[in-house]
Amino acid sequence: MAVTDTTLPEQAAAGEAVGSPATAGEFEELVGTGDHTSLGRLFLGFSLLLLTVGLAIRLLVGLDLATDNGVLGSYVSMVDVSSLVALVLLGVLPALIGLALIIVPLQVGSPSVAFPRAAALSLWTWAISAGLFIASIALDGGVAGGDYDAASLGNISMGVMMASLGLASVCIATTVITHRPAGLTLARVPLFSWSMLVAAPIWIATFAAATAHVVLGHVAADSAPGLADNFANGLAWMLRGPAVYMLAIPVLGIAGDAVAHATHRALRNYGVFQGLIAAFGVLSFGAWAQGPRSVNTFVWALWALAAALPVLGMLGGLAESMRYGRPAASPGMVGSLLALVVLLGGILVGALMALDTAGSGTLFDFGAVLLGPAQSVFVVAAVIVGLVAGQAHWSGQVWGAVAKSRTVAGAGTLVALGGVLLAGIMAVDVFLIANDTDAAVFVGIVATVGALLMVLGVLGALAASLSAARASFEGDGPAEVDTDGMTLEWQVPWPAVAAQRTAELPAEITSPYPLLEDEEEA
Amino acid sequence: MTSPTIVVPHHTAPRRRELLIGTALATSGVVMLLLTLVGAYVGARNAAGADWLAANAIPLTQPNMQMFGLALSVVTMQWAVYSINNDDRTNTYVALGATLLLGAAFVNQTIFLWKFVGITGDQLEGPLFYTVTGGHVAMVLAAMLYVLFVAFRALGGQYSSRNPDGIAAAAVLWDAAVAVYAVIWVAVYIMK
Repeated sequence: MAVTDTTLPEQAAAGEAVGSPATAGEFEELVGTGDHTSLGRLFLGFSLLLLTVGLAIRLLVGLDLATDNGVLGSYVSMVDVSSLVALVLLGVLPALIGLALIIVPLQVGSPSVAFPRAAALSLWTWAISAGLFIASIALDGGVAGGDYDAASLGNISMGVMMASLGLASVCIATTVITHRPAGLTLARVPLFSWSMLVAAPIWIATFAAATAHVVLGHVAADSAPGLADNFANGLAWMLRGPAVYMLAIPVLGIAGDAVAHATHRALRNYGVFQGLIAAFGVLSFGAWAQGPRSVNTFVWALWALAAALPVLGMLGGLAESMRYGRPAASPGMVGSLLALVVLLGGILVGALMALDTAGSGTLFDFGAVLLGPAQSVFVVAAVIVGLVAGQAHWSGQVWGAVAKSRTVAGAGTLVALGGVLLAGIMAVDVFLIANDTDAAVFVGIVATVGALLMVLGVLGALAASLSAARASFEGDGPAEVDTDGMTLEWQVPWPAVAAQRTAELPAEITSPYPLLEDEEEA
Repeated sequence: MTSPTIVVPHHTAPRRRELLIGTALATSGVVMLLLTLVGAYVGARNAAGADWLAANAIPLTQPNMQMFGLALSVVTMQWAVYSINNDDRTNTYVALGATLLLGAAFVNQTIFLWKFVGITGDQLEGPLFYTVTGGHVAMVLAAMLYVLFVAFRALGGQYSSRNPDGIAAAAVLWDAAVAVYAVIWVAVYIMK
């Protein structure tokens, strides 16, 4: 659906068009679309591709270490830091937004996302600025590069990306708040939509705070080192705990929905699950801990440790549900639980970092300077595994057919394994290299292998998605929906397309699982 | 050449509170951005100590009048919201017009203050001072455009007691702009 089309349904049914007939070609339709499913698929597709680029850059960093700075030369520090920003702003976050743009309106029974034009604007603004950011990395800019013009381009494109992702978050949160049908109260919203409602304001606030430093960098820094300092002192906080946890909020929602679907039972104590997701959201708000002074405090250490509690609670609650529900193992369920375990690894690294910082000069003084980036990689890996699981879980709605289980399981395992290898070696490399200078080669090789596994995993997820889309395209008409579905997104034909929405909403919604209620009544 | 007919869903009336909630969420981002800038300003001032604004004197007359004018504009903005909720169109237009007038007065006073104080961009304080105050003026200008936009839509009959969301949404942005100025007034002008 193009946002400017005005054909009325009854005229369309009769094969008529209002005024001049629609003459949009496929390209114009694609660029002008306001259909939330198309926008979501474009977000997902672009971000998965760019995620492989970000991971490939990390692979180069590992190779550089393994070859004693023989690959990147003087660019190594710029490429190292820029790749982390790329993983977050070009990869995992827009991919989550893409998944949410498709699934959230379906879950709340809405025919569209709120402000579809704004959602389209955010997609294309993000895509263009992402391209500019990659160009700036190539020109020795990025976020800590040596060329002032290219670094300025990197700084501005990073700000525009954050603004556009914030705009998409506004659309998603507004959809959850205002597009719900009667009876679907906030206490009954499916957990993925709930997690997006929790995540969106935190993303908006965090990106706004970070964008302020982008503006300051543009206004006040008049040299490449000045921009690098501006990033280190004003923006790097976004890539470490607690702020980096905000990326993983939707993963908790994906896990909750996937487990409930696999057990085909309503989650008991639904409000507790919502509370745990909300608590994790609050603990992932990190804009208050921007400066070095705020990091070395008791509150920051407590914050870093407390973030584990909601995730542990979530895992415990879901395990309890599986114990009673006899789940049918699915890639979505297994993958999302694996993502939570990997996320716990990231929180553990954050806790070590808090002890290291707070315990300076004491027993806890590890001096591990790379714990922050290691934590980022852990969380990013957890989110990618969660995304792979989410895509597999909602593969029918997103791509039109069920994704191949083996490919998805392989992709999720590769990403998790690669992430743990890469983040793990980053966490301990200082000790290894301090004790044995030859260890740098070993560290580099492990980092390269870790990044390579992650690249292969993401490519596997892309292959599974394309395969499902092809199966849907070659099939005859929309596939039948999964009859085990319990929430509203499972009643729309596959693949979900806004213009073809025909399903009626249940007459009365009295629980978080309206379709399960209908099934029990029948 | 045949062209496809594109089927779209039924046109439905705007959902209640959609614009209001969306504006509130976007406004929260803008407020966060400006508060971060104010925090950076205060941090830089504390680091500079007595050197901060040593060569310039910022009078309080204009900032005080600006604060008073903006506080008054909150009343006029809420007057507009109250009036549209009561289908009182005349008072709605007058209230929106008065709000715009007070907003224009604020922008005028800010520009006068910038010229009067004479802080230059190459001074230590320059970039931060103009980023904070200029960022806020940009927010007020955006809020004025929003008010103007909803005023035209109200003239077109799109808002009434059944659908007052547009004017209420503009009021959210406007009130937030005033609240941010209150912080700037204290942190930048009074505390200097």
